[in-house]
Amino acid sequence: MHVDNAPMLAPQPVTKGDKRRKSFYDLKRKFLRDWQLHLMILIPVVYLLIFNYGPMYGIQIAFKDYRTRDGIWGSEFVGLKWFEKFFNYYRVGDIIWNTISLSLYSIVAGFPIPVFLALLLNTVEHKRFKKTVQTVSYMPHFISVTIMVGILNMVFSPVNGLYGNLFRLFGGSGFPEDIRATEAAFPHLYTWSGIWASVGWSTIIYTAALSAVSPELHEAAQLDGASRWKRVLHVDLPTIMPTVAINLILRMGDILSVGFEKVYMMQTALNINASEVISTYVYSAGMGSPRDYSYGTAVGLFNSLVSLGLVLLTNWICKVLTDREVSIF
Amino acid sequence: MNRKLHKILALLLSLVLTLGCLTACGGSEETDESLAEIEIPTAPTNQVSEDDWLPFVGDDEEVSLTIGLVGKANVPNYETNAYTLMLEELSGIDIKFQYFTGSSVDAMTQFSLMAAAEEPLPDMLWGLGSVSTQTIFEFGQDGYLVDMKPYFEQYGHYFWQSYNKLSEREQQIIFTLGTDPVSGGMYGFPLFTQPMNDQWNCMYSINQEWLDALSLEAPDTVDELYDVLKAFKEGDPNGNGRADEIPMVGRFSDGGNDPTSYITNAFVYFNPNYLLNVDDGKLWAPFTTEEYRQAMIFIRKLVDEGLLSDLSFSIATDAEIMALATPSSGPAITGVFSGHPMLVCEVGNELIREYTGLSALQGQSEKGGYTVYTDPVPSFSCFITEDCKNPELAFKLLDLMCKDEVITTMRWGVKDVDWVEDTGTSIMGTESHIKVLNNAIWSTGNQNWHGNGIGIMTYDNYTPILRQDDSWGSARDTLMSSVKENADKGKEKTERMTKMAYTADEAEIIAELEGPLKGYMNRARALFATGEMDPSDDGDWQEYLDTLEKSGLSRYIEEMQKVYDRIYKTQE
Amino acid sequence: MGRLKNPNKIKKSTSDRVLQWIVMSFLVVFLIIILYPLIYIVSSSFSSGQAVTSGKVLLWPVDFSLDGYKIVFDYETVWTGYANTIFYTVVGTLMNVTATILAAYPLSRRNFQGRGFYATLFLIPMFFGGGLIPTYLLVSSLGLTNTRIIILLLGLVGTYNVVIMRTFFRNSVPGELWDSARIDGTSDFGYLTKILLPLSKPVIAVVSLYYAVGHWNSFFKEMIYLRDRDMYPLQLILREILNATTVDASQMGSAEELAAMVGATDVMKFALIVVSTVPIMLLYPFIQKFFEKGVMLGSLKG
Repeated sequence: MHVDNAPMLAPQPVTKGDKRRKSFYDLKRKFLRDWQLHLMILIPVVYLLIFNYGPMYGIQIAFKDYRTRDGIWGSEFVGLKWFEKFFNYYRVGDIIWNTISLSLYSIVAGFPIPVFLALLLNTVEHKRFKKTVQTVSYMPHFISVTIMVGILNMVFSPVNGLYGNLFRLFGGSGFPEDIRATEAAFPHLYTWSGIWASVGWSTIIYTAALSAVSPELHEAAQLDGASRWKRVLHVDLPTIMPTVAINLILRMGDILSVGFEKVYMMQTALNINASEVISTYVYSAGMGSPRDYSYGTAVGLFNSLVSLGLVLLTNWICKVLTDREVSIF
Repeated sequence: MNRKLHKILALLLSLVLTLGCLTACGGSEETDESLAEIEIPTAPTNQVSEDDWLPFVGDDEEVSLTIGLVGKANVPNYETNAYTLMLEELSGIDIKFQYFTGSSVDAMTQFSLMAAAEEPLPDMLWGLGSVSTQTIFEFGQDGYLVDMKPYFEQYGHYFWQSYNKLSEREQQIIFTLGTDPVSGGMYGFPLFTQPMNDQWNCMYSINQEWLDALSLEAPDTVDELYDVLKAFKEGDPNGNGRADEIPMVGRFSDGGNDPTSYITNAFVYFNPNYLLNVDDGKLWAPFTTEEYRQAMIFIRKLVDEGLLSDLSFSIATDAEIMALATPSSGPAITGVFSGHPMLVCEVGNELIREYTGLSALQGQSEKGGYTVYTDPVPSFSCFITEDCKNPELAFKLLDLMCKDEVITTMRWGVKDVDWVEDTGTSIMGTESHIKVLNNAIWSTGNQNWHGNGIGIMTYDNYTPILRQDDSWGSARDTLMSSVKENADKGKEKTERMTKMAYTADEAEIIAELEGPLKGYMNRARALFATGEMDPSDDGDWQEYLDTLEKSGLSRYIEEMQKVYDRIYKTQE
Repeated sequence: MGRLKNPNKIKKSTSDRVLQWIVMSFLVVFLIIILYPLIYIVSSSFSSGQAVTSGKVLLWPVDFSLDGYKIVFDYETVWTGYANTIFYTVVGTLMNVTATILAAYPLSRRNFQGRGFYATLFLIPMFFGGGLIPTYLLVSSLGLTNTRIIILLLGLVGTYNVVIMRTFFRNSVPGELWDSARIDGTSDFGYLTKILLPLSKPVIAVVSLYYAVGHWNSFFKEMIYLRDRDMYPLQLILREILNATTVDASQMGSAEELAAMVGATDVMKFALIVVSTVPIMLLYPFIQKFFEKGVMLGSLKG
């Protein structure tokens, strides 16, 4: 319910001219009512206009052969050349599929876990234990990708890693199969190591949202005889649902940006069928010349369009499911 | 709300497309399609004496040059650094610095941004070794970098002294790789190192003690190799009663040092760094031939019977290959390993003494039996920019860096403090006169520019005297020498591919094809070896050839042939 | 309104206790899985180079040595790096959070005129951007290259964080508060400062953490825009140190030196991780205070 201090009586529109005058009158009235809000949002908007929209004309580089001396406006126009180049790669379907499937796997496997973890942590009564787990769990987020892949390779080494040692410990002789090299294992290694690194960090936002759950709701539920677990399901979870949904929508926007560094380091001759993604392909087909910049911009534009589409789609789905309650707009 | 959103998005997209169309009007001039001849400059005929050459600037004049370089963390202060002071004293120029950070590629990005924004540029750029030739050519054509070709002929001095010590092949590539095919200009001053101890792709070591224990000779042919590996596997040469021997292993990802290359070269010359071979000026692909197929079949047999360990195809870390080649406890478990002993053998591990170099195998046909050499390739790391008011002076300064004593200081530090003159042999077997006293690699002392390497580094001015003692270090060096000796026993293929300089259009097509081709070719090697594809099966082999065709192999060979003809035919 | 004292509340039911045990055992396993690689990293940073390269380090340090750290701290620039990074992080985060609040609050008001327009305005840059070159040209034309200001300014508003904060304002703060404030005649600005912000400590804490970590780890824009080395943040310095000690085999005079160098680089990488992440990790316990349950409870009673 919203109390509006505008006058309740306004002249009713009769003619078209009247209607236009009314909408202008409405605009002015609303602006005067909300002027403080407009002023507040002005600062970030000005920043956005200067530093984000200002340079946006650079998108045209995706259609040009950029050359420093000619500048962005003066460089030669090449139309859809870079897009054609990208789509002419005989494995373009495979790499797009690899990229999307890796991302989807990460989302399906990795998205629920931080939520689950945050809920679990929230139920722990022992304060010290809870704090310890929380603090330790978000440390992997800070480990650079290089180190993490190095550790991964080391742990799963059939020669001298934990994997190989366990194999011999349980009576195996020689060396077990090296899963680091197999196509089948690659998505799992990639995704779960990513989850390992990010799960603790991702719980932070949910923990924060959970802390805003009214304890009175919990008390009311307890009065009704609900067990702790039931309270998690019926009080905690619904409260953080909007946060979860928004996170998911935004996450869909990253679906084509499977990071270059980690995949590149995990690629081997034997698993490359599964491990070649858009970013590594663009790198390997790079000419080592300034033209790579234009090419990269074009592929990036393609990525952006797909991401935008997916985000809008997911957002629309959420809006429908929650009756317009949850949306990023 | 939805409608408004749709409107805004539609507006934005049409804006983007309109921008795209509008910019069609802003086209640049047509680039000149005819290509320039590659002229190799020659040394000036009148050689000036040392005393008259230095300094460039008299005491009464004040000239300063700004050098842009990537600031290295282990040089605390470039201004007061001993190397800088030496250069200033010899040349009479006051040297100032402007710093970039990151890799050379990052530095070049920063430079190109400054150029795009029309900010003042430093007079010179130094030590940007990883910048691609394409980038150099484009900036040179656009005038941001100065063409140094005329300067080589007029002001080259120390450069030519070092250049004349190089072999013909080494000399040729310096100018052919550095010259822009479109404009004929040479924009980068070469950075070149005469091959050190890891410039050949035939580093294989065999366990001599095992050979002795089984009364065998080191193998010379592929069949003998098979017999020796089989004996290693079954004969328990390390004498511990367990069948834990790994006959042969190496890192597949080790470029040309992987074990499969060793065997392949007995059948056909194969350098995995360059896809193609060249014979009588004609380029061809070795990896589609019948000989190559035979090699794959043989390798498959070895892997199948456990004679070549399939771990070779998946080992990812140095620690693993070390644990296999020189395990820290117990007897040796590897018969033959491939790779640079410096990186494969654990420091201080006595097992290294059991190994000795293994020579290339004799050819199954005349197409094979080679040792593969990787020729060192110059990079072009120093440039003079358009903002320099004194380009001749700048060039003379670059040339000064090729002076023998200057190079030694740049790498090893201050004379008589960090190194002294002496005589002895280097690790390459050449004569060396540099005896290192204090190898301060990590030191933050201010004595040199270690890391901003520049100039022509020859055996004379760069390779130090080998330290001889009875330590483990000398055991390793003995192995290295043995490996090198044996490498030299193989045939050397004199006509071989080298790196070439492309035009932007050529680079575009070639790079697009080369990356995926190399990727698939390597992948197929691993698949053949591990049996996921069967080389003896006609269906599989045909599928392999078809995929190569689909990836554009014929087109690639055609394009490369065009470039090759352009560069080398004009030399005749 | 007092809290109803429920005689049942004090006694935990059996199912609750069982739940506690299950949850805690699960978390212990989780803890171990997370901890092992972390311990490995710290142990490696305290081991000798050779032990690390030959794979001897499994859990505890082998050949205990401080060499990795010595190399890093030998470079005095590390300290200016720390100082700069702390500056950028503290001041930058303050700026970021302020701007984010100024954007999130209006967007959270359902009846805000132009909400859809502004929301779209914020969303588009998340997907489309001009890229490095036009941004650099802009910064250069503003004369802001090689200044601290531009490092603080770039990335002022992160759309993701704005959306997070707006969602929190909208969903986690009860609507009745707004109505009663309206009746009292509070202005928009007054509502923001006196009522909303004090209740939003969790989300402010989270968003501050996100921005702070972003600043702490940032190196790219610093690499592009800064020329004076005394303005370099820690990440740039550490990268330089890593580059300086990474070895090229052809430059080695002898075997031991090469091996020592390779080993040193490996150890140093681990020491670098510890050096660059321990400070920021220590921040979290302070932030945790704001995630305590029922943080809003007190204000509701007012």
